[in-house]
Amino acid sequence: MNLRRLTPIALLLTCTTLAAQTLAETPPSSDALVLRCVVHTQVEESGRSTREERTTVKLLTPAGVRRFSVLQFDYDPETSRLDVTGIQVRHADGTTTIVPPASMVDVPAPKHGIYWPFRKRLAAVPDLVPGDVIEWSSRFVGYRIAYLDDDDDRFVPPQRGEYFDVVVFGSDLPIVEQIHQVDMPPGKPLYYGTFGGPLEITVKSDDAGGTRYFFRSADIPPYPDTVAAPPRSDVAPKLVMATLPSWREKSRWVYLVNEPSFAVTPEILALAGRITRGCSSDAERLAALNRWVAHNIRYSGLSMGPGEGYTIHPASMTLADRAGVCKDKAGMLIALMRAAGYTETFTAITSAGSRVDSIAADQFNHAVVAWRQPGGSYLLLDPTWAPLSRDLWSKAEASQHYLIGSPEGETLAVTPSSLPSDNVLNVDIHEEIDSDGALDGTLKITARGAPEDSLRRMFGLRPGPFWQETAATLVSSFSASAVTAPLELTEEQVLDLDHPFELDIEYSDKAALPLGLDQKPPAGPPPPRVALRPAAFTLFLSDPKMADHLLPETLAGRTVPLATRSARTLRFHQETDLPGKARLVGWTDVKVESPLGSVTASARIDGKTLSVDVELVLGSRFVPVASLPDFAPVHAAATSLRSTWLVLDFQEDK
Amino acid sequence: MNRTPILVAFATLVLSLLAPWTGYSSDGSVISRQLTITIGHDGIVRQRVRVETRLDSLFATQALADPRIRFERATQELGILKAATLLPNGTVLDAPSRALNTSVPDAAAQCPAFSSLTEVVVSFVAVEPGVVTLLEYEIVDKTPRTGHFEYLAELASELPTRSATLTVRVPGRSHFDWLALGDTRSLVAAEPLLERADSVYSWTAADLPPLSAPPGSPLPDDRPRLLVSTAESWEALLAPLIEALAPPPAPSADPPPAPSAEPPPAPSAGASAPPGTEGQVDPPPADLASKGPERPSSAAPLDSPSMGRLLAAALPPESAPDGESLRVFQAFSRLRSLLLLMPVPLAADRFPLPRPIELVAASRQATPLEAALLAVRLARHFESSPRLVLTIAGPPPASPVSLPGPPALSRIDRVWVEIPSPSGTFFLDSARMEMTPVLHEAPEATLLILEPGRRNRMETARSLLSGPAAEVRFSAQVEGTAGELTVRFSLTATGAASPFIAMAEANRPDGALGLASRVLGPGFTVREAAAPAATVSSYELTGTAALATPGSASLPGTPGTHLLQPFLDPARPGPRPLPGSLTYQQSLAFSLVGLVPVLPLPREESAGRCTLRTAVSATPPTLERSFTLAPPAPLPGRPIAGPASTTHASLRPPVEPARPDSPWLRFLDDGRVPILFVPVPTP
Repeated sequence: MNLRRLTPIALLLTCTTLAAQTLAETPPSSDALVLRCVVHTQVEESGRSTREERTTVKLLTPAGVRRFSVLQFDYDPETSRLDVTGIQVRHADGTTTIVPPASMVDVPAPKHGIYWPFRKRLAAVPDLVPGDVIEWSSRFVGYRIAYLDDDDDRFVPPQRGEYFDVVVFGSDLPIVEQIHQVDMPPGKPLYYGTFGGPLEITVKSDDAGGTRYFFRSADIPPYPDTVAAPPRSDVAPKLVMATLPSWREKSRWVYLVNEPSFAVTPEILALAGRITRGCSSDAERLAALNRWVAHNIRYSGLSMGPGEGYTIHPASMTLADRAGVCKDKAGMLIALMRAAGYTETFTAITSAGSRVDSIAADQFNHAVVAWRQPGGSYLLLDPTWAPLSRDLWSKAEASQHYLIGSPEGETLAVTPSSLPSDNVLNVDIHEEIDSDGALDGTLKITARGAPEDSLRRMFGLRPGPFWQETAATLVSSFSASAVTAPLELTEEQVLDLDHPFELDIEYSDKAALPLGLDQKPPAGPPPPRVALRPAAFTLFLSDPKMADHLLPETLAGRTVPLATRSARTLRFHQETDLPGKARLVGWTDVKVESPLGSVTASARIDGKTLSVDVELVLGSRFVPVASLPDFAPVHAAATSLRSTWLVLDFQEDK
Repeated sequence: MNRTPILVAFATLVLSLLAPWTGYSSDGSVISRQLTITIGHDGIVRQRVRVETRLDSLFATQALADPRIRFERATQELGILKAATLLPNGTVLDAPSRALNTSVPDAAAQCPAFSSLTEVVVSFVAVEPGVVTLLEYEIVDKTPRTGHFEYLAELASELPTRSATLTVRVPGRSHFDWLALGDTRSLVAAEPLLERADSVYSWTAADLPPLSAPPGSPLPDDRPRLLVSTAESWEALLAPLIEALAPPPAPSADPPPAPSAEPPPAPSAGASAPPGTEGQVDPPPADLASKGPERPSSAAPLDSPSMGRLLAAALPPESAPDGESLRVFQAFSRLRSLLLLMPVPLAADRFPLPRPIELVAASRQATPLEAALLAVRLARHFESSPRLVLTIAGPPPASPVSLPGPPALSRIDRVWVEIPSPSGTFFLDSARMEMTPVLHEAPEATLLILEPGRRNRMETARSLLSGPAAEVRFSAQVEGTAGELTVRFSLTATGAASPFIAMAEANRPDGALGLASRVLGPGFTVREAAAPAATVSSYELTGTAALATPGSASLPGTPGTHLLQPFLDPARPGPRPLPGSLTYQQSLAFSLVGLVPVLPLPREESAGRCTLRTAVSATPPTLERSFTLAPPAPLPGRPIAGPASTTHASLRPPVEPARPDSPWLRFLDDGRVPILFVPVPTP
């Protein structure tokens, strides 16, 4: 599992003054402009690589100055060597400032959840102002994560002899020119592919019999962070390179390197027996084992030294620690499953939220579990995403690539899609408004799939004293002045994964808004009409976990795909008992359908009861750019629902 | 790691677990937290901490089993004495060495100047519900401290705390004082002891509730803390700051120009502060006290090349002469963009004084105090005479000449820069470098004012903390038919609600069209708008707009409310305190043909300091709506028993509970309801 790569490296000292002068005349729409980013990588027979980088950036705004006032260079001292070979600033007046290497500080990297011994070098670049051009160069030898014993081998990749890299041609800043050059030793082929956009490519042999691969792109637009979008690497042009010819070799290597970690100890055997005691089916046993790992092995990554990062901790170690990252949690589950008789269980690697392109380069960031069922097909389990989930495989991990590490070798596969019917949120709202305008209401929320996970985690991953506040926050999304009754929810209910999660919330408002019926006017009849926005139009529709399809305010002009947690269905049924007979004024039911989803909203008054029904079907986790126009009407109708008001005419009641 | 037998300790621990306790939480509890600080006669400080925590829930085992110890590795050494897990079956498991990992705080990783700050993450192993984690460590200074020592001890955590103990041993002749902050009802101070040549102070607290804000939220102000300090006087403590604040001497070869005929506006609490509200905290340094008022010059040298480059970068490009006054605000906005701000405190015993200002200017990395000093330099460039206003934590002063409680940098709650400008005086919150027309502090806040060349003075919530704080008035005449509506409107925003600064930052102070569009919302075409006179704290907008499709559009319920929104956050903990009142007034009159407005029903509510009133009439249709929020009443300090001092009280007023039925929440709801238009009903 390859964690994030280092900052790109640059090589050439090229005069960029002309470009800087030209671009400096344009008004700054970005905080800085990357004039040139050049990386030169030399690969040795062992797979060890040396990357040299030179990057030149022109600062355009004060925010750009702040961003580059401190340069940061990440590295892992156990597996790589980093030399920052130069930092200089060319000022607008023609003078140059050299940042002395001795002024750099070397510090531990900030760590959250993964506590491996990464470090970073910080270089303070003093006295920057807009208009300055900053240039830095560095040399990086080694591999990101690999702990081998022999000092000479420290920088050799764990899959000896193999090399891979993934290079994104783009950033949140515009780039005038980006070059990536790779020199391969004689006889070592490099398989590469470009994705997301064209690159200039030149391949030629060098005098020593090796091969030089040259990739270039120019005038690369910025790829700013966009809400509900795929990672930049899935949007910008990307170069993927590997010496491995196919995924099968990678699969076999993943199997071989991790197999020793799944040894079943007597303790693990006994534990598996205790966990599965009373289970009568595969489904029950697997659910019990998956949930045990999810809840009893906390996500906390300790380094085991040699092998860390690309191999799984021995299951016995993970059990003793009761802690690990995704790979270690997967390893724990594999050992427990094997102990329970599911011997054909292996690890699989995925790229959560990202695309894996067809070149057999390590593009993975997550590890899970694959059980080869008797029929030969695989069943996936993910204990990392399973806390407080009833699913073996999170519905939020649909349609993503994975590679199983098996003895025979597997090829890249895609997890099953999850359908809107797999991820359903049902909300029943009943309200009663009396003649004084006081409102009593109840929310009954049920869910399955990804929405159920989100709902359960709203409580289970927070301290108990704040559960009431969580419920009140839900109510306040449609009524700030409503009072939420004491929540009757126990930890046992939250942790009961054998049954669907149900949440009941009662609330009241002594003078419900916006009716204001508690205050009769001193003289004359009350205004015959009031505006009412049903809770069914607002609850959860701005929630980033429940309705992330609706996070963008509009899809007009969007140039990147819509990427969300999952397809889903949201259903709301609301009945409000009114204090008098009324009719709806100016309401028209909403019905918008497209191949990628639909929105229906209906409202009617029957006697004194206002009934509102809303169904929002979000048909796909990913909406590619080409399909955005198809989805846009659904998106527009759903988002406008949040600001839609009903007009109730009480005249009939007079 | 020290692996001494701990059977006795754990036996005690197990027994303590069996004791009944009413503060039980299903998530677990901090069984005991012990802190012992020893200030040696050699100036070396030792801090020894021991915490025992029971983890019972999924939340607790997942989120609280990797605590962090923060220290400064350049000047301190950390020794982990014990990191172990006590399993429910009685087994004790030490954390292996690989479970102790080094990190740096996120903010420090951005700022090399502070990157000596270090965190050791202690990952307890074998954690499952029901375990007790034990962490004991010692932080020892590498070299003797030359200045004072202060420590701000946090007594509460995410879990309820059964028992907390703090002991401080100081050399007998050392000056020492302490202050309890927040809700410290259960804190009990013991009689100081004399042991050999030391004085020993100790405090205990029992059954402390968990933090009132959920994990990940800003720490609540009501959390209990105990501050100890050996500083003898505010004068000595702040001397470096006062020195840094002094205007740089003008070079003799290039004398500053003569002062302009019109001096800048006098600070609102200048030399003629109300009687009884000003006083000298401590005698100021002789050289400063003797200088008297001094007006810096715009031509004052830009100090070092670094300072010059920084200030030059902050200055916006030259603009039209009529936009000159706006450059002040744009400059501060640009200064904010240039700086990497480092939050303080850095650690429980780390409250740094400003470094040399030239160093700060070069590095672009600044603490709030340092950022304030940079802002002072920038203000002087605009011929302004800024002052620093420090909000001091602790009880209000009993007299204008002394601040109760120990002098301590950690009592500087917020650093404001008061900046007079041709457009009006404004305040800069240096922790965020945000500008505001008023000083946002509670009415009883204790302010310490540092003014170059004048005596540093202390004020208590008078001139800077009074007057109308935020007011928005919106009136409109709505005329038209089902084909088109015309809205003639007027918006007045004063005090903290004035949008002047934000618009000046965006270089559109007369952006009346844009503001009108924002106020009226989508669907309206603004035909004309003007803001004839605007200052920092007063903005008036008039104009005309049209709504082409009144049948499918609406008028916002409370136009202009967004200007009050910063003070009406519906989330905890209720309206942000303003020194003055918050007012919204709305007046709408309709003259329509074929349409009727859907108006809210009359309402009148009053609770606490909120009043909400809605009045409508049917013929002709009118709507009058008002909402007022009176300023919070000053809350007196609450002395607690303790022989060491008699001046210990709450830092800030208790957080105002978010009463769900408060009119201010209903005001928010009202604001959501648009004014809809429907056809005149047919008979």
